[in-house]
Amino acid sequence: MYTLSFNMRVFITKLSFFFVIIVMAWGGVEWIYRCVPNIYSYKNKIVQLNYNNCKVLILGNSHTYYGLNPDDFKEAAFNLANVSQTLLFDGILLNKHIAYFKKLECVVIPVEYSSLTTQDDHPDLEWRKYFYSEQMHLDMPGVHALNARSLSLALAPQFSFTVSNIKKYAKEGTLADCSLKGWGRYNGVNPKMNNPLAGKRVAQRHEDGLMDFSKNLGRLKNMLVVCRKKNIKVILVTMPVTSYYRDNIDNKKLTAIVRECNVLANREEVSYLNLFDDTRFTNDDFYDADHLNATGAKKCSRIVDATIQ
Amino acid sequence: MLFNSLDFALFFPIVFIGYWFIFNKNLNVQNAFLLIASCFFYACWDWRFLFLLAFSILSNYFFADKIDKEVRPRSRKLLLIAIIIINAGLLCYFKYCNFFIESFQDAFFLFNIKLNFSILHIILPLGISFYTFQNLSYVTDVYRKHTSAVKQLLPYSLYVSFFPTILSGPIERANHLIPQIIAIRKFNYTLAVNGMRMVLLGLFEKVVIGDSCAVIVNSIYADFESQSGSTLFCTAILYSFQIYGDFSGYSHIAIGCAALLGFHLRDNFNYPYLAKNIADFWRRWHISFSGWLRDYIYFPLGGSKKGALIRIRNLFIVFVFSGLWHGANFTFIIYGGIHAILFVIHIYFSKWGGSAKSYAVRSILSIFATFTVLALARVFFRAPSVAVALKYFHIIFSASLFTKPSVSRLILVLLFFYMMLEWFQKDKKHLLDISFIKQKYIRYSIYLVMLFCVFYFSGQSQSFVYFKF
Repeated sequence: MYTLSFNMRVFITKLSFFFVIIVMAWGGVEWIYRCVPNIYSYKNKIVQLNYNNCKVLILGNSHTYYGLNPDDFKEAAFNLANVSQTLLFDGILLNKHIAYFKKLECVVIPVEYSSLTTQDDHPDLEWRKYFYSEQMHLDMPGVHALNARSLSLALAPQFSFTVSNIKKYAKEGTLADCSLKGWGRYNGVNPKMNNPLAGKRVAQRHEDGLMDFSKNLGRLKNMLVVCRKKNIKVILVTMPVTSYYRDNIDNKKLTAIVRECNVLANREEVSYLNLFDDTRFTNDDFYDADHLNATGAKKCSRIVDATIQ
Repeated sequence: MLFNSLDFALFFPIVFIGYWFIFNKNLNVQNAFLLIASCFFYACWDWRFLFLLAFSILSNYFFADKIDKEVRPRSRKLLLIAIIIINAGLLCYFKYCNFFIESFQDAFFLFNIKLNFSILHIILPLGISFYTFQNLSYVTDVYRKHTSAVKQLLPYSLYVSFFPTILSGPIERANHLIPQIIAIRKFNYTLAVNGMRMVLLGLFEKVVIGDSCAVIVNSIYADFESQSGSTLFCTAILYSFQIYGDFSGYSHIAIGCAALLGFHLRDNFNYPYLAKNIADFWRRWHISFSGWLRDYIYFPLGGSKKGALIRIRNLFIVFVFSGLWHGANFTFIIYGGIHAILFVIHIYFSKWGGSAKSYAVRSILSIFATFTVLALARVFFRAPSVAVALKYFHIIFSASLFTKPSVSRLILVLLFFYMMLEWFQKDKKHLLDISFIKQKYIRYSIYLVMLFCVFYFSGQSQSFVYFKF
């Protein structure tokens, strides 16, 4: 049997001091992600409570998560949107839950400026699949036992994100800050994030320079097929943004997106509501450059609801 | 498998345990284990290129053996030329083929002759520039009788494919690393502790400095035409820190990992941004590469011993070659050319000394001037084409240079603070060489703060810039 030399023993003893700290920190973070309800685990729980009465299901990313309040819809609605939820996740969520909704009549699917070109391996999005897999019990491509990150939620996102989550939990006492219908509330206007410079920065962040829509259009079409089979109406919607954001996007790309949505809507006989340039919204309806606040959400929800009716 | 990835964080402890606790009874077994680990490490990127690596190892091994055994000078020389052609051929094919095709087409297009050669779809094998240079130094040293040919294939294979160095160096010399490979290794506590410090420092440099600067630099470069001159000037500075953090970080992790396995690798960086002039800079930046250029190109060309004109010619050859080594693009050639010009200027103007009294002030001014010029030269290094680089300079040297930059002042201040720390540590081997702090709790607190910063800034592992070279 190998006996440790004195030097090696000292080295390992000292190293284990740091190792213990790392393991403790990792364990703490893992505990937070697994035991404290967060937006993924909470939504997964409350969506099931809405299976029996929900008539309108809202999918999409943060634009619809903050921008469409189910309480402002005439029919019972549920917001299953989440921050950075792409069409990939929308599709998998729809496929998983649609069979359980007993009264579902309409699905709202947003198509945003970045929706059709988002790549699955985008660093801001890639880690989220582990949360969808673990906490929303979805079969995510690329999540398997050999991938170390799929074994630990603490290792999935950036540590800075985890730190901000811990701060949020310490301050607000929750990581699941949406309503019982799944809506996230932004109050008022944040002048630091709702200004020309912020608009430019966010638009630049959303600009990937890609014009190939085929993959995400395919996902969108699959979702329409699933809904048609169940005789469920679909509303495609492009959510409003501030003028600061709008002024900094590639108009050619936007035109192409709107054209694709119109073609798809005509072909599949679904409605398409383009609110991107809608003058009914002012910059005061937004919390930041591209997310509606509670007032804007009320306005937007009523417009979408009117389209459904 | 990146050094800053979770995969490597799992891989290395397994290798460490296997190396010191399981396969340590027999040197050959220990080396074989290390070779297998190195192959696995390399195969994680693309296993098919293991065959190329194997071919490179075998050809250099056998040619070196032949050169060593051959007594006739002419035959020795022919063998050396043959293996240089093989190495250069591999490098040219994988790295420069498309560049030559495109340049050829462009040259003919100037005379209105349109050639339609199709571009080849070639994947650049990771680390090919580094291991080819290592092979070349070995066969040349055998030819020069600076070292004798290695008798066994295993140590040589490990010398070339050693996983800490294979992807981005340091470019090791055979007479430095191979004797360590063939000697029985005992765990060296001091070396291992220093290795851990270097790994931590390297991670900090890569994740905290390099990657943070990269985010800003990439976003500004994506839309540089709408930025002010001052913003682009600050971005050029940030890019210098990005590449420094990235490459110095890699080198420190590589040297640290090797130290944990009982190997002492050559230093690759020695506070390069404290250089007082261009010559000083090249003594501190990518030392293993600049040493290689000096020993295998500059000196054989005659160095500085054949007159001023020959010296200038040699400097241009070396620096243009070094630029081209970084990549197949005219931007790199210009980058190398700029360094050559700066070097020539330095040689002929350095004789103008100052008074001893003004030495400290002059040193600080020299450091700032050298850094600024090099940061600006790096615009060519970063820009995708010469036209983009020129446009970038056009914006920098406009009236908007004197406006308020839209770059976080905090990050510039923090980087300045980092440079101050380097200044205080400049006589130490590396920034984290803090063994002079006698209180253990202060040292441990520094490690923990750095560790926290690494975790805080880490996330999706960012690749190393020098991998593409």
